[in-house]
Amino acid sequence: MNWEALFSGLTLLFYAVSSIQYHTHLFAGSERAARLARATAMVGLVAHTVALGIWCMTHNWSILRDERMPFAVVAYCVVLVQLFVSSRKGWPALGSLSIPLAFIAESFAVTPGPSGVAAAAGSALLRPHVLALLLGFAAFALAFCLAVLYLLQSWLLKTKQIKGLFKRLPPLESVSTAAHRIAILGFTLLTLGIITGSLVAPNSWGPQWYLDPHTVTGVVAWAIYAAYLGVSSLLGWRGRRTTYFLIAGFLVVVVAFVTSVNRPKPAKAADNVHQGSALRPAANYPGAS
Amino acid sequence: MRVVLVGLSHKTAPVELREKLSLYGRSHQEALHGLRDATHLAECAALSTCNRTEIYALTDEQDWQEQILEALARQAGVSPGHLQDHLYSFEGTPAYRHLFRVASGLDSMVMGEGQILGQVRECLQSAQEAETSGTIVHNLFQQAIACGKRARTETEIGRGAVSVSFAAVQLAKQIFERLNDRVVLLIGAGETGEQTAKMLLADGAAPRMLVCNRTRERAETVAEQFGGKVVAFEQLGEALGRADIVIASTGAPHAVVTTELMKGAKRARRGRPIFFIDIAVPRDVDPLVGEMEDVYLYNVDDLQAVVEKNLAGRQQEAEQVDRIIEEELKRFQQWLRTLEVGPTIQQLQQFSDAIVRSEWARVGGRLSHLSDRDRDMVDAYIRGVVNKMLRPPILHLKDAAASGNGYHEVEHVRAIFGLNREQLTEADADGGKP
Repeated sequence: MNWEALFSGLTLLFYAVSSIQYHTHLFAGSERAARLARATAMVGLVAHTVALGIWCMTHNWSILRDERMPFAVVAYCVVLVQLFVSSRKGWPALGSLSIPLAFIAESFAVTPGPSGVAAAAGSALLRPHVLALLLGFAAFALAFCLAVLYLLQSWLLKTKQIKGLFKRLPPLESVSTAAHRIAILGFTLLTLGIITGSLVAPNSWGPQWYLDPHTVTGVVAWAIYAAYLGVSSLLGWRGRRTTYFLIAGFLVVVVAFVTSVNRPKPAKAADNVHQGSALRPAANYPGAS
Repeated sequence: MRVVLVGLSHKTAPVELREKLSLYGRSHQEALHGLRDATHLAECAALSTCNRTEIYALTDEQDWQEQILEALARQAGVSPGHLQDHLYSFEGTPAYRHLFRVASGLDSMVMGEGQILGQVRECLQSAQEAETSGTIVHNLFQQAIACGKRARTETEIGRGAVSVSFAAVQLAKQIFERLNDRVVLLIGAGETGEQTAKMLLADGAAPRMLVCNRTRERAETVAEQFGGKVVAFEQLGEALGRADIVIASTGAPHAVVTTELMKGAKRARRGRPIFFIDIAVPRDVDPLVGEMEDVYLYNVDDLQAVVEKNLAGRQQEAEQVDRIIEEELKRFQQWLRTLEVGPTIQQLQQFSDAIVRSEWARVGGRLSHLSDRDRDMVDAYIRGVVNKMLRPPILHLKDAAASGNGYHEVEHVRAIFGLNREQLTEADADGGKP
């Protein structure tokens, strides 16, 4: 039996159920649904841990062996941070955005597609580079969810629709503070990813590496988040306008992520594949075969 | 014996009469002892709030209404005739239902208010301390408290603000979560503004208060009351740059906070949200200010609309609460019915015990050769047989009690077993020990 496929299928199922439960809470006001949604997401995370654990053990602890693995790691990190925030703050409304996001990412991870090496090989800095970017991506995803919640809550307050949905959304300023903190974490990781990437890239991608679309979009995303942190941390700005930075930044990060996952394989890595080096083409991520 | 209720509330009596009957500030124990001494009530408890005074009692007197009326009239210092017009009285199930409705907040002036549940609890505690409550009144109140708790947790009867000030505080919390480090600016030192500010403070907040008023003396008095600072009217723009929550309640005939003033303040605010509670009529804050980014403006009509919506929501929840009340009522009635069969079951057990002892007395001499251990074994066997024989009628009685037919079946069982005092006394007299 393909245990990886089984557990990643279960993960997908639990995230889907949890998403429905979170939305039931948000739109129907059921407190029980919110509690169930959190429990289901936790069970999903356990299944996800098992699926990733099996993958890592059977593939030499490498997350670079398949193009779909980054999606699985991002989904995992999003759920992990979501559950951490919900244990501290509650805020089931956040789950109604973040868990569906994790579900979408995990769907990509289990969708059949071409297998092969996803990233350049041959550098010790490659793993920290990829890990930092994936964790940063998860952080930006949650900051994006919080920014959407902020705008929604702000709109409801402005239009004086203060029944039902409004009461289930977290307080405006707390959302802003949480988004700011998570964005700092994401920015730190993105910076780390870009620094390690710039050290790895010349060897793996040749002298024109900085013209690669994923590098360009990554730097643009970095600039947007740097601007956000500049105005919010240094100048003390808050409010609607600063949340637009978080939304724009995340959209650019998505583009960077998709272009990095789908970009052509570097020559060196492709060579390694043919030569049967340590980076052999791996089986697809669970459920893909 | 039956549970009865005599009382008055905001629905039946004016405040002048309610305050005369209220036990607020008086010793509950003294009042309950006075009531018990003046009447022939077996058990009693007094529920007294600012909106109601109700006496719950257990009695088998026929003229219980007159007795309680006279005792209450004496306590209040009014004539029984005058009081009678404002009193209501219930007996049995309607009395239980009334208490359950009260505990659930359905009978309160503001439907669903939560204070009443604590007052019902205090009422029971006072009756226990005064030793005027027995098993039935105690259980009635316990069931009412359970009912009230269920109503509050299983429905939304207690949710949502039902006063303008409270609605404003709840909205503030939806923007800022914690109010303890907020700057509150009070523009105008009117009574409503003061009340809202008090609500903010009562909600665990220790906000920094700025008071801005045309009359400096009045501003100083209010600032002193809240531990705040006085801001001159000329410095209002600067204060708006610092404030998180603004309560405006001046008597000015025109807008005090204009868009120009706010535009100046916004530069200093750097996008921080600001919540305006404009409870002045005519309005103190220009409506255009509410359209500015990161400004949330609520006037008295907006807040009143919130209150009305919440009250309507509570009204809808009342149906759910009624369902809970009926469930709890059924539970209490079932418990009451078991009391009807309890003494008969006890008598049956005493009867069987007396027979066993009389038989031992009769044949005990002929079994004197048995060791103590063997006699104990024989005794255990006999008691086992008797208990097994009594089990079906006891279960039958309990079932009959649960289905409301307890009294009828009690008569049958008593007739079949010939349960009367003489028989038991005889059996007791014959009784011996193994």
